[in-house]
Amino acid sequence: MYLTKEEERVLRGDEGEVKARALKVIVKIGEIFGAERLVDVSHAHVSGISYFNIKKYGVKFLEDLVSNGAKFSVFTTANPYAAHHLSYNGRGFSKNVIDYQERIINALISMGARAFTCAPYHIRRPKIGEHLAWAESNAVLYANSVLGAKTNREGGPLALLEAIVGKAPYCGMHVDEERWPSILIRVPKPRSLSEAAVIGYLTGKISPSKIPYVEGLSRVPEEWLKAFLAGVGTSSSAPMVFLEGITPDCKRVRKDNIQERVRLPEEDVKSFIREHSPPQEATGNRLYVIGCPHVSKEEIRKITPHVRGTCSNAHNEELWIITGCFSLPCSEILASANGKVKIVEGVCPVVTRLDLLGVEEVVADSAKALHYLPRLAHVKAFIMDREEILKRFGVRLRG
Amino acid sequence: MDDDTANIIIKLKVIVESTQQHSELCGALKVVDHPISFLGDIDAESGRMRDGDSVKGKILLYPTAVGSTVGSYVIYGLSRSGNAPVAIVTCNEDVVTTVGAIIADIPLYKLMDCSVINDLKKYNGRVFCIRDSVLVMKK
Repeated sequence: MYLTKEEERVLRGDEGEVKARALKVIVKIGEIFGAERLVDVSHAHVSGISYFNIKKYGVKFLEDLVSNGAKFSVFTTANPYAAHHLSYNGRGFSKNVIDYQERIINALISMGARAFTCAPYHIRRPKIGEHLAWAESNAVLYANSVLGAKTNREGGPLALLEAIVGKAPYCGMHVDEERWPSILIRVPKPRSLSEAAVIGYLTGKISPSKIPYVEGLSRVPEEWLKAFLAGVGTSSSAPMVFLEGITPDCKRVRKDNIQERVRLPEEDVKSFIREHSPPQEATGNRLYVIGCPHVSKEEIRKITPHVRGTCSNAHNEELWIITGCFSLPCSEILASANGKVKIVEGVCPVVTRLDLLGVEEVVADSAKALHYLPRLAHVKAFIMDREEILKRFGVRLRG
Repeated sequence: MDDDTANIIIKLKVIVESTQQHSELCGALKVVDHPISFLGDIDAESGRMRDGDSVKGKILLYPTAVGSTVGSYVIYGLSRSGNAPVAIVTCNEDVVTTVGAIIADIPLYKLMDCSVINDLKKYNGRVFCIRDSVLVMKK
């Protein structure tokens, strides 16, 4: 691989052992994937932040980096952490869990992390053609497909090392010729955010690894595109989707040349939602979640005033509305009504062992949450539309 | 049969070198014939796999690593808890193992002919050595 003089200096250890080892990893990964050189990135986004995922050895790795003087050399954001400080019906986590999660957060902040969110495009919106090193699939898909920025689907540890060096291998989605669709999928027009999420999830099932060209979403709101792409990222390893009428790269592509063509029937979407809708009455302790991916600050501003006055009579039910934490230190709870409706920043309930709080089932407006909740949070999961959930808690939106 | 085993020579390619100098690396062979998901398949604190075997001090051999990229931290954890294998040998150059091997400082090799994994299974537990990118049974 071609390395600049500066990169060779770093590799020799002139800027310290940590940076040398981080660059060694990046170069090696680049060689494996046939990168000819490295590329400077302007923004890194690190995943693998929940204590429940990375456990003690992840904590050790991060703290070893800190004690060896590691610092992020470019603007760096991190995924949300586990909801370690939250409680359900008054029940919280053990001191052990809280301590480990705090240590992870502190290690990331001391290396220079600026925010905790799974929607880093809400805090810093990359420009067309900008090179990034992002982990977190929904963010990667959003950056490539909606913003026309360039990033591969990095793993958590790799993105962390790229944040330290400020470089990534120049291969895959960084190279225009690699950004190319190989299957055309016609999808039905969504009528709600959760329908968009399910359409995304089923699109990913149709194309588990190929980059799809998707017709039918040119006039849907950006919040719905976010839900759609999070769904795609859950069932597919594709790092981008060509959204007709939206993705800047569509200008380079002639869809007539795509051989494979598939249509996603509207009935598949309807029956998926029917199958995963919650029973009217909760069968156990139920939690409602809005914010997978995180709700934007604009949306939160629409919701917050209504939440303050909310009086919910739902028994054994809570609603958590989640947004990113953009200014440190993060608040525990931004707003709350009767302890039943909580607006929270910086956390992700999906990577939190909700069963330890006594939660038995979760209703979310997200296909990604529906998929991961049983696997990671150890609870039953259902899907319901955002407005329906808000209505249930007496929160009405305007504007 | 013993004559055959004495002549086993398996070619490897270096993916990640150790930062320490070794003329040869020796350890009991631990062959896994299916893809490993480090997150879930190996406990970093004890070094034990789901079948109960420890990977500590062994030459760990498997076709490829799959699953969460958190797996790299598990490899790091094995090294920090003193339960690291002496070397890892795998058929595919995957991101999880490569990142893990470098941050944990465990030498990593690519098996040039993956079909030998099945033949090697019968030598599970026998001591092998890696020298000059060749895996041989210790005499």
